[in-house]
Amino acid sequence: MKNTLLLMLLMIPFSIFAQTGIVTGRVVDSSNMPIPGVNVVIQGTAEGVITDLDGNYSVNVENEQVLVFSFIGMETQSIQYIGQIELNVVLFETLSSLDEVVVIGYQTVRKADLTGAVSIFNPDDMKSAVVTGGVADALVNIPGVFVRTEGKPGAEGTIEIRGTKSFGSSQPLYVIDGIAVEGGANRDFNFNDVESVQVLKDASAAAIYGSRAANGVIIITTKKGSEGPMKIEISSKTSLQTLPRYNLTNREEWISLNDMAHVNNGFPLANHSDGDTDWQDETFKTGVVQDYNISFSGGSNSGNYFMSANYQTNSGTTIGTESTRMTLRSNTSAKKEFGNAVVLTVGENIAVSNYRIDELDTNPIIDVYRMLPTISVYNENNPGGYGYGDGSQDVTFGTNPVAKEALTTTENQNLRVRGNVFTELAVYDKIRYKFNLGFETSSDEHMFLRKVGNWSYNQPIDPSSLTKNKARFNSMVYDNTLEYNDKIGAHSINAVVGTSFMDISYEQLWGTKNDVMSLSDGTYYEQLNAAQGDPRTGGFRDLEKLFSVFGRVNYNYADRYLMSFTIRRDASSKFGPDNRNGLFPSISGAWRISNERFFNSSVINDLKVRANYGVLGSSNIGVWDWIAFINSFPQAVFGNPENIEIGQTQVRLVNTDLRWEELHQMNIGLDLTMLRNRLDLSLEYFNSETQDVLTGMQILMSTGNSGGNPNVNAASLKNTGIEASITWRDRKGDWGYSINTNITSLKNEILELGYDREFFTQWNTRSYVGEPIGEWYLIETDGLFRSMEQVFAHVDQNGNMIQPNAQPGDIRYVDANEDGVITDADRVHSGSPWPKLQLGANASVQWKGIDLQVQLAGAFGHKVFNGPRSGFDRFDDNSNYRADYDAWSPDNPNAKDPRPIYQDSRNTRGDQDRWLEDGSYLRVKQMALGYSLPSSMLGEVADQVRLFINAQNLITITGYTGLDPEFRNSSIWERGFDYGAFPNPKAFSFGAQITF
Amino acid sequence: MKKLLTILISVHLIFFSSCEVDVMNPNDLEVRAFWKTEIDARSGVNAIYNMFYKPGTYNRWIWFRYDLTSDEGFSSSPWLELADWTRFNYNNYNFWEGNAWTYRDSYEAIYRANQALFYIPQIEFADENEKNKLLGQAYFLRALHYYNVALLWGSENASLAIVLEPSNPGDTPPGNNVTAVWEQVEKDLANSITMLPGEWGSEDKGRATKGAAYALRAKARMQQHKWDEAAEDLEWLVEGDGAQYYDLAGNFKDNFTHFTENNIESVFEIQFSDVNKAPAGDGDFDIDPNLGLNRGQFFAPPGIGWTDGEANSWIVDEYKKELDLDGGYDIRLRESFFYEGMDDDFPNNDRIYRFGMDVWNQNNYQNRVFIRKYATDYYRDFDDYHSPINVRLIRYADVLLMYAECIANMPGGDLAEAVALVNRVRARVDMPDLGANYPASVVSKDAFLKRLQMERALELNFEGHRWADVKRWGLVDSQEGLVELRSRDASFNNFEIGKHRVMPIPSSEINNNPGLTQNPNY
Repeated sequence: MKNTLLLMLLMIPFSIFAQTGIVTGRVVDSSNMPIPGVNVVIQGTAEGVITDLDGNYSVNVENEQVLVFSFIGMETQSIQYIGQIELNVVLFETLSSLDEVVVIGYQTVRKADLTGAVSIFNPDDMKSAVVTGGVADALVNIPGVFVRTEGKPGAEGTIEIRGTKSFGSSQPLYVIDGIAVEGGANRDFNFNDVESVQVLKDASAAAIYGSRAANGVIIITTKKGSEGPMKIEISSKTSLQTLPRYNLTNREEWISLNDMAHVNNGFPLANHSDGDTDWQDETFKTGVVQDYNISFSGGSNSGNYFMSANYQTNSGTTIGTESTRMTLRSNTSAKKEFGNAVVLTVGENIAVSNYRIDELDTNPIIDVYRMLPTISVYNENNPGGYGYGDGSQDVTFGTNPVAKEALTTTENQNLRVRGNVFTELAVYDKIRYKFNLGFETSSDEHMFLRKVGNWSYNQPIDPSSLTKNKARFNSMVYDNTLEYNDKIGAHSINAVVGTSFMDISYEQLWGTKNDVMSLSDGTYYEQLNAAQGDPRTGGFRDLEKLFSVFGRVNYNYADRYLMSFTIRRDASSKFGPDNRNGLFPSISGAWRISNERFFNSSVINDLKVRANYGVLGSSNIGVWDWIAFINSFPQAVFGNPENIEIGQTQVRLVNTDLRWEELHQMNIGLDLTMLRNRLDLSLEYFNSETQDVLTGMQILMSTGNSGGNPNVNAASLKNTGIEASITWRDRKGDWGYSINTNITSLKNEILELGYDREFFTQWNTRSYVGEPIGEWYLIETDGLFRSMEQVFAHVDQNGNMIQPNAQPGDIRYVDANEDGVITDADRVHSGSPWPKLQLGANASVQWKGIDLQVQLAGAFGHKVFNGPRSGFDRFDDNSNYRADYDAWSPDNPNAKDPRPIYQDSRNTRGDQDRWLEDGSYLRVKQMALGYSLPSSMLGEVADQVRLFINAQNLITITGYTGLDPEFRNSSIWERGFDYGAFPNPKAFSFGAQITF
Repeated sequence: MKKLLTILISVHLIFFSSCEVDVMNPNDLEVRAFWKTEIDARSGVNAIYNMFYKPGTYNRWIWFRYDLTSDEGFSSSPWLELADWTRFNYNNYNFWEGNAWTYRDSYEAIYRANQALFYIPQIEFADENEKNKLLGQAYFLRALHYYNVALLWGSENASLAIVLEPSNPGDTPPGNNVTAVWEQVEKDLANSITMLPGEWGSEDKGRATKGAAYALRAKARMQQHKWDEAAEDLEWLVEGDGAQYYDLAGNFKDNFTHFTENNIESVFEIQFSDVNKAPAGDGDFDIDPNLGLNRGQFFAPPGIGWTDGEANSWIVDEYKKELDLDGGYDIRLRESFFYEGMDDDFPNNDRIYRFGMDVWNQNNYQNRVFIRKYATDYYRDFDDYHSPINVRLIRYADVLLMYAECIANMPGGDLAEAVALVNRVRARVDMPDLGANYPASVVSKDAFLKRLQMERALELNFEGHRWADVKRWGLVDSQEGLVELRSRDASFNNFEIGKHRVMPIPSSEINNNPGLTQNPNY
């Protein structure tokens, strides 16, 4: 006995360094969080284990064997066993993005296997900012994507993917959790719920959405729970916003210029009113945006859940508007395995949101300069009590914004339930059948109240009125897909085939009455029963249906040769029975050169070239546009005593043979990853042609058409572009950094305009066949006449004065067609509103707990028309003026600006090039600094606490003198015209995120 | 396993079968379902009348084209472009409010008439007479709008489209000169004359009558200086079968209020009503659209309306050259204008809407004369966009003066007859016979015609006739005429002979229709 014990004691020390042993340990990530599910495999064998929920593992291993620790998204580590009892491992996130999984439409593929042009947006880019508009508003840095936003509550931006491919809406198709959503991910959508966003830019990527994909597809996947204990995330963000301001005259400066303008035209000086108002001070304010979000998520190996709630408010950067939004979301899914072969998954994603907004009733960006500094805000002699000038003193036809916001109210409220329910049956992981039912229903309420009172000079006295609208939007989408995935040797096939049926209805009912009752304190009743007279009511319903059949096959040989073929057939109710079917095929291929046997480079990790060609469709027209209707609204009076009779007639002309627009697109791309997966380079070239473009082409007035130009498949457009994207990421010790830059160059060209037109004129732009859309055509100006000699010297070829009425201090116009007069025919090509180059960049640095992010955006080489400046540079009609206006006068003969002349339009004609400016800009959109508290401080309770501050849109380098070079104008004919667009505000944001 | 697959595939096939994507519009009537019954026909014709309530026509802008462009009125509107288009400063030919809106609305009315004329003949009517009455109205209204088109834009160049069938979006009709348009006007009116009744029952007052068609054709003929033929038309109204329907109203003012509408002097009267109150719009898709007259709001004096139009002072001076049979001033002066001294010249004439005479001390009133015809000041103290006053487009006094002009222009015409007609119009407002203060005009046809130009201004100022008159008399075609016009209205300083007698065709029409030629010198 004693001997056995001794032997055993002697054995123990040896067992520590024995030939076979048990190793235990814990695997964590770089922030010390345990990683469950890590593969711990003995190299060269099939033996291995998986870490448990706490990251612990325990494995039998023999001496000198190598343990390989691997996990998706992490750098694999291999450690040799030399007898350790305990082996704890820290895994770092992999720098390579090749293993990222991408959703591309009824399927998911690895990024490495993509044959099309797909850009991935990381919602983390917005972790220090609040997104108040639609999801697309955040996609600032994606190559090929053009985003413009506005800074008022409720504003949703304009997004254009790869140029203007049609004359209708450029709105891309949104797919949320697999369901194509008609309204898009708009301002109701809680951005904090977004897990990933993919932008499908070319034909092969988007072809499976065929008929609605011509403008590109944005795929949004919402967050799902992951296996593990409940994770609670709370975030609170606050953003303080202010608008940039004009530099306008104050009372004294205004009077001095206004008097000069009167004298210059022989008018007696105006009787100036007594006020001293800074209208920008009265109207602009600091807006506060607050966003509070909480989410609970977790799961087991048979199911997961994600629930979130969000509350967001925006108090508005001007008076008269604010918004409030509440959302709730629940995403769950669960699976059951039947034996080894069959897996049944069911799940749902539902979001409920309530968005309430007091909309802007004025355009303050214009009102603040139309109003004069001599007019007081209030004037008890006017109906309503507000000041707006009067005929005997300073007169303006502008609107008093304080008055109009107080006297009119527009409110909208939307309650929306949106989501999908799905069930999926997978057999042997090879065959997968999925039924996805998408639904959206929204209940919209609108109210418009007009109180008694005036906000502008010479307005007729209108009674108070109340209008209420209620509408209901319903959309149902039924998607059936059957997927087949298999791998035989080096060949692998992923195929999907399916059908989709969409049924949409929108119904609206409205009522309005005049003479609304009010209390003595000025509060008005807001129900129609409380209005006394003139009831009117109406209602309508829009219906739309779409049925599609589609299929795609992806073929992959040895990870070297990749091919994909897609086809889709759509039938839409928006077209007549003869024209409602469209067929949209596409084909693409890729060659992974880096996997070739002859390719041997230590520097290049992955090199792939790809090309594709496809046909996509679009039908961005109204739902009844191909049918000619009788309008029953006209009325006529007859008789003594008078009676009203109804008139019925066709008002709007129609083309009944409307059909699908077809976009033919070709794309070539190159993806390169090098230097140990630290450098990613991506280059694309695309060339697309849209045929049969649906356009509300202007038709002759002699047809008698009214109610808008009829849509016609008339035009043909071409878009070409180059996109380049470079990303560099690295980690050295405690430092991690990444920089991404992308550059886009787009060109559009009109191939055909429709009705055999050579060109189309829209205000100050012309669109010629063979040239880009909406180029500037303006009368050239050549400085000022500084003396009468110069006026006399400005002659045509016959020696006649071109501007015989001009005086020194007036603008000298160039008589381009040399006919001796300055007319519309002297307009020449003055520039392009389309940037030659668009730039986006995002840089981030992490050191220990500190993270820094800088995001840039810029556009270069385009010309924009400063609308507001053309408004306050006119002296012919009263408005406020520029404080830096350098008026010509005999005492100031070298001045920059023409002499002000009241009631005379010679220097203010709207089609001159004086207000056309270089629109190039470079803007720092975000400068964010975040700090995550060290885990030692947090202890057991919290897993992560991050605080941040962010300065947005503070630094803009531009020569543009308007408020915001990044202004939004969604009309493609006048893209570069700043009509007084609501600028993007400068903002300072701060907040905290806590994870439990 | 097999069973599962079978279920899967059959479920899939159910959804594979084509789903129906046809939808029926629940909101509107389709054209192919309309134009079937007598009621449809009547509604179709009512819709043509509806064009009178649009801003491009008699609701608003046409008064700027006819009254302000002529030497009777001018504009000093702070909306400079608007004012420029009343003083021959035409920069942007596409200017909507000043040119293109009226052009489009005229053709929109023509399109509605074309629809009626195309579809109604195919409809079965119990009484063929009723069908003809509807067609006659469509012909009349088409003629009226082509009359405006010819007057405003017709020149010797092929600048006008004559569209006689319902339009298609891609139509590019060839251009015609003004003579061809006049021909079409006369042709349409010839049809109207045979198809329309002499008068309507009380519930149809306002619809076109045979007399209206004769009077309009006379106007068209007079513009072409076809005096004989015009005289034939006018004879029906003055001495023929038509005379039973018409006479001069007892009170001059009765032609300009909404209390005395469709009176005996009315030959063609556009019915306006304020039944659809603010904020009723004038768009084609507005429920219960505005059926009221906008003109009051636009011409009302400062502080009441926009004052986008006002009168030249020579008319006031002209009125004051004579006294009526009671020793007072011509009552027509009182009813036509607001001017300084209006309270001195007439008793009980000291209110301008809600203002008293102290406004004449303000510098936005001094030395100005404001338009009173069609103002609502006689029953309320403000104006708005929904005035109920009917526009007497053609009234009997106009017919009498036209007849006088034709007779005097005809070589065989009897001057005495012409003078008697003028005297009849003068007598209604208690003014002495023409011979009393203007003896030369009763002995010489030339002198008479010259005096008649002023008589028309005194009777018919600001009723939309002066522009046609000034063109017909050739005052815009000769240097002498231009000098005369300039002496009355400074706007004519910008006038170029051979150019500004017509407006330019909107550039978008010229640019997009190769068949049209722009008017001369534009």
